[in-house]
Amino acid sequence: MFQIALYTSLILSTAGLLFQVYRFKKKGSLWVPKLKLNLDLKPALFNTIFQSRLFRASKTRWAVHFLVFSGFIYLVFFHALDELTVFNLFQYYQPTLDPFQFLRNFAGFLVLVGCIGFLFRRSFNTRINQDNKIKYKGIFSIILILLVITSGFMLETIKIISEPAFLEMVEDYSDLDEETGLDNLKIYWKTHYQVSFKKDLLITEDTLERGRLLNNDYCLDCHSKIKSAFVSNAFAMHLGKPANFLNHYRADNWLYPIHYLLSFLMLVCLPFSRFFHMLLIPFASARHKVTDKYFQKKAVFIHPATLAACTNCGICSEVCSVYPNFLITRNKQILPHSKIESARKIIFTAHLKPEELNQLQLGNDDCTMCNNCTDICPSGIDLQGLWKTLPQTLQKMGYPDNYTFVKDKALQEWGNKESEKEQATGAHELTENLTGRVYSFENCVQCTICTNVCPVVAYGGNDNDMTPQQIMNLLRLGKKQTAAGTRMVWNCLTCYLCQEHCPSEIKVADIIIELRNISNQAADRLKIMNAADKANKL
Amino acid sequence: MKLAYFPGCKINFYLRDYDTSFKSLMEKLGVDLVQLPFNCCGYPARSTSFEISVFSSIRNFALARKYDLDIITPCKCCFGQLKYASYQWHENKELKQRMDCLLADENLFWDGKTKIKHLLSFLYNDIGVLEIKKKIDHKLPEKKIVTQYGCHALRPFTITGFDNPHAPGIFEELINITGFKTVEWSKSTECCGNPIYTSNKNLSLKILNSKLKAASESGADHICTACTHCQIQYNDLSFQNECQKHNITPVLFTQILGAALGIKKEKLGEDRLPIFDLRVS
Amino acid sequence: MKDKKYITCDITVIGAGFAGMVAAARASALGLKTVQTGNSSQLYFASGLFDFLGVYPLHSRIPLKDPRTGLELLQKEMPDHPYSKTGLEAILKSFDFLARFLQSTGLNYVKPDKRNRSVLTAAGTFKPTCMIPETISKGCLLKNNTPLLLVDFKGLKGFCAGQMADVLKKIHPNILTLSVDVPGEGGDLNPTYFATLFEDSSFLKKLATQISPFLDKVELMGMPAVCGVNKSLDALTRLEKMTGLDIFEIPMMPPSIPGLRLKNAFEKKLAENNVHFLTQAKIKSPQFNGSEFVLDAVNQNMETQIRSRGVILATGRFPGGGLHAQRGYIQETVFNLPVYQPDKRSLWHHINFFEQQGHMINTAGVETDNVFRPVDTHGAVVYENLYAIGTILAHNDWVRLKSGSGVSAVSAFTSVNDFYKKSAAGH
Repeated sequence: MFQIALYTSLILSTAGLLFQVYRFKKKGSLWVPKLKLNLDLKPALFNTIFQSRLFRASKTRWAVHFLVFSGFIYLVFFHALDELTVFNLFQYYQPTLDPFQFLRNFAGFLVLVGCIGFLFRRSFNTRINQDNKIKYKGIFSIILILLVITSGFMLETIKIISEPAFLEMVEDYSDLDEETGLDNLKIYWKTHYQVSFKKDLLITEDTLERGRLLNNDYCLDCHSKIKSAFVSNAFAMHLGKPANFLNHYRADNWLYPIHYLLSFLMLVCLPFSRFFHMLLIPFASARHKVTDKYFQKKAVFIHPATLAACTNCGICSEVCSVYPNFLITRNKQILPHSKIESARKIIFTAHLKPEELNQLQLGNDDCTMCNNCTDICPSGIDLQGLWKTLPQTLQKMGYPDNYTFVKDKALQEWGNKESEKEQATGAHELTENLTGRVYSFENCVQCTICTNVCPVVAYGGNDNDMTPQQIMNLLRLGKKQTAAGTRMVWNCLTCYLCQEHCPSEIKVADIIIELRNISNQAADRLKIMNAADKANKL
Repeated sequence: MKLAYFPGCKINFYLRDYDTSFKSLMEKLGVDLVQLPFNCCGYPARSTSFEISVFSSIRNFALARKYDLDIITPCKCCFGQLKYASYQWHENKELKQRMDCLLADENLFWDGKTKIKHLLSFLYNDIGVLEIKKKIDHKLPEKKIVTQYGCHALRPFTITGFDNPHAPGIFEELINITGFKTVEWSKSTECCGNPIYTSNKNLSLKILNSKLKAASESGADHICTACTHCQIQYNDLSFQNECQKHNITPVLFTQILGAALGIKKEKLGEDRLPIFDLRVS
Repeated sequence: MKDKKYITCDITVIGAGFAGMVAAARASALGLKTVQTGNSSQLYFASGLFDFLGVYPLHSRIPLKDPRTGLELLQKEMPDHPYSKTGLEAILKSFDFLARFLQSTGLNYVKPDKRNRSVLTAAGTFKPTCMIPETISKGCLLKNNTPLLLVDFKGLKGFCAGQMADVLKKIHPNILTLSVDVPGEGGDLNPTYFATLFEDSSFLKKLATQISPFLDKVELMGMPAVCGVNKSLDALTRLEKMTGLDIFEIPMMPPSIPGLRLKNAFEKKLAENNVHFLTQAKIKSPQFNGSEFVLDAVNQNMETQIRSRGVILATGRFPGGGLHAQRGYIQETVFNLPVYQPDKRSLWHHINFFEQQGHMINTAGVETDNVFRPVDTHGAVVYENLYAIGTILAHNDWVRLKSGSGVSAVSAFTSVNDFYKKSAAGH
């Protein structure tokens, strides 16, 4: 049965891996047309083995993660695969011998502590945890690890206390029986190895000493002191009454398959759960060192496979430069960890509601491309590369940025929004409200100085329509929305030459910037309406 | 002297040499820089929301205030935006209340006492040209250089109070003490085109091209900005071989002054500037 | 909490129009520590031509050939006019100073002649003026039958060669016109941007090729005043060399490039002369403490307290904010000085817009003594070291007399000199 389970899970796991590779290839060619995979293996290796990036990002998290990682690696290689590794390395290897017995327990303990640390972090209210969907992502894998480890410890505990197992061993490895002092050995094992016997045994110093001698003769070669299995031993010591009950039903026999089946489940789940990041992070972090040149070349290292390496750790959002934007708009899609989640959905499942896509577009628009997230990402994902390519993808899907959106609308169409202008100001929004107060632009004498100093007017050519002084005139005519939809408002460099030169000291540039805000809000509203329409159609 | 260093979003990854050389320069001048977990200055959000942009700035002020530090930045956009936000905060009571609420959510508070300095105005007003001149031990060759003032520091003057907005001069004074010779040109106070680089690249580069043309007509060898964004804009174009066409190289002010003050090459950044090869001392 | 700064200086010039600029220039040239406040953008409206006295007496309706004869008459008939306080010599000296000052910035002006110069305008008419930029000067060479080419640019508004030729035809028949397609530009052209193109030699070459078919037929060429912003004379000379023609500029409607040149020149030179310029600052609650003026210069974010021995008020009239019209009376805005004005509002304007006598309100303003210190209703000086100059002065209908720059220049010059003399004697 072990063999069948092993091979089945191996086949399933391989099939899963192949499926994922196929999926990445397919989606990759669809989404990012040309990606030259110019991998740099050094950082990848370094980051995989020592999680150097995580160390840089957060020492505590690294410590917790490294507990799990190191313990897990030990268990996989020296416990699960012991027949391939330690058996060949050490002639005398026995799982019940020190240091292996101790190390196994220790490793298991590390993983256990680490996993509890993982769960602990999730219960804190951090930036990432404000998103419940993401908060519980990957929890399955953590619980699975916990189950495997606890089942392992339970198995060991049961084996320690097991009378039947003891008797089997005695039968296999000695010629002892009741006459030749089996009871003495039992007494010794009861006291020093925590075996739980049905029968009460009379413990004296004499019998114990004789038991010790027998132990030396028959058992010591293969059994180190049980104290070194400090976790299981502790369990065994405190098991008490139920021990006999467990022994009676041979709990060791049915816990063993549970333990290995859980482990195989982990293997099967490898390509489809959080476990996959172990394989993807090396790929994602095989990115060349980011230098000035890298940015000048506008190089992007973003591939669906690298996106899948995200572990939702949320460190990116902790360093996000535009976090204040989130605090005000409460649009989760401003924060990188939410954005990458949405991007993954777009690529792999395409189950994203129109409103969500719209929010994603707006959130991504706020990004200042500061590269903080890419720099800190423990998985080494080129997040900024994603933010750079995302607008194109979204535009193809029908969610253009506001600049393009307004540009593609005829000015006439914006002008028609004039009737809803009060709504346009947005009652909750705090502004300088220059465009709403006549005295801020009524002094305009249309002298055209602003137009004359404006670089956009000078170099804009056909790219531009109105001039600053014409914008002021539109405002005086009460055509706020029309003014807000002009190319001038969107092309403005905010260089303040107009404002500095205005003889009437009108805040020309500030007014234009405010108009751009109005235009942005109008575009947002329109897009939300469009998105709602789309959702209705679906 | 201790100041909070506000690097701005771009400097760390797009113009690392500016960052490195700025820090070395400050070290040389005996200024302790403290790095705080600042967020974006808020300028990019100006286009979308007044409230967000001001809050972003105020949050930075509050962070610096927590440690009782004034802020220094080598970026003129950040400088301008922080000045603007501070002005609005002082003027608008409703805004002040709203900011107080938002800050309170994060256990922060700002009382308006934090000052913001730009690299140039700091050198000029707080350290003094003469003081720097005394420390210069490597006269640089007489290369001709044009300066760009950077819109958001210069204007609106009534808010930034940086320098005479029509005929500024502090940048030239600071460069001339290094041995470099500043050349007059017509577009020193005009925009580099960077703010609309992402939305309208065509126009942005057209404006930049006109500036390079004017600079090269004035006979300059180098161009210098003392602003992260302007410098990125020039560097970007140099990448596209435009600068070579006009025979003009963008240089970093901090590297020039740093070299003149005798700071070692390694501490001024990775990319070697032409001036280091030409150094006579 | 605004940033507050403190400055002490010898003299504060309130206003950055033409008069304020001349005052600051004179003061800084004399070595006085000078602070200036105001908005220099109004210089964009200046034509760049300096008038002395264009018309006198007003009913004559003909441009004055020699301003001196007009001045003599004016001094007799209008004893309160600023010119009557200074005399010819001061006026000429002030023009001379102005020319030298501007020359030092690279902006060359032709020094005043005994006679007024008549400058060809964009309307095809002639305007009498005194001192003109060198780039415009050759326009005065216009004699009958000099073959003349008038050039305009497609897209540049307010200047049409054909229309000018139509007007000029009567007195000057020998005119050819050319409308140039500006290489690489389409749509409307803004004078400021367009003017910068002339600083580029490749653009000049392209322009010269477009003119080349006319070279044999004409000797003189007129074009709108857009030939370069900072190095205008240089650009014009280069174009002259390329074509072999004598070329002159023709002043246009504001915002005018000669005005911009003037603005740039003043700003640059004053900054070099260490004039502390507080742009867009307003003077609030000025006080005099017996020896010094204490002025709070306030703008959006800064407050500067200026302590200054002398103050020059060059705030202009209504558009500049120096005078403010209340319902029934006119107020001076900074020091609340007594303002000479008609008794009631109904007298401010004549019912006929083009009335020959002009409108009463245009003579309103601050009355001063001979060195332009404001006086109260009894004729006593208000403050020992307060001067008022430029258009704010009373009895000065400069638009109709065509004497704006002259009055500004001479009042600025005289007042600063007086202050300097006094302070030199004091120390």
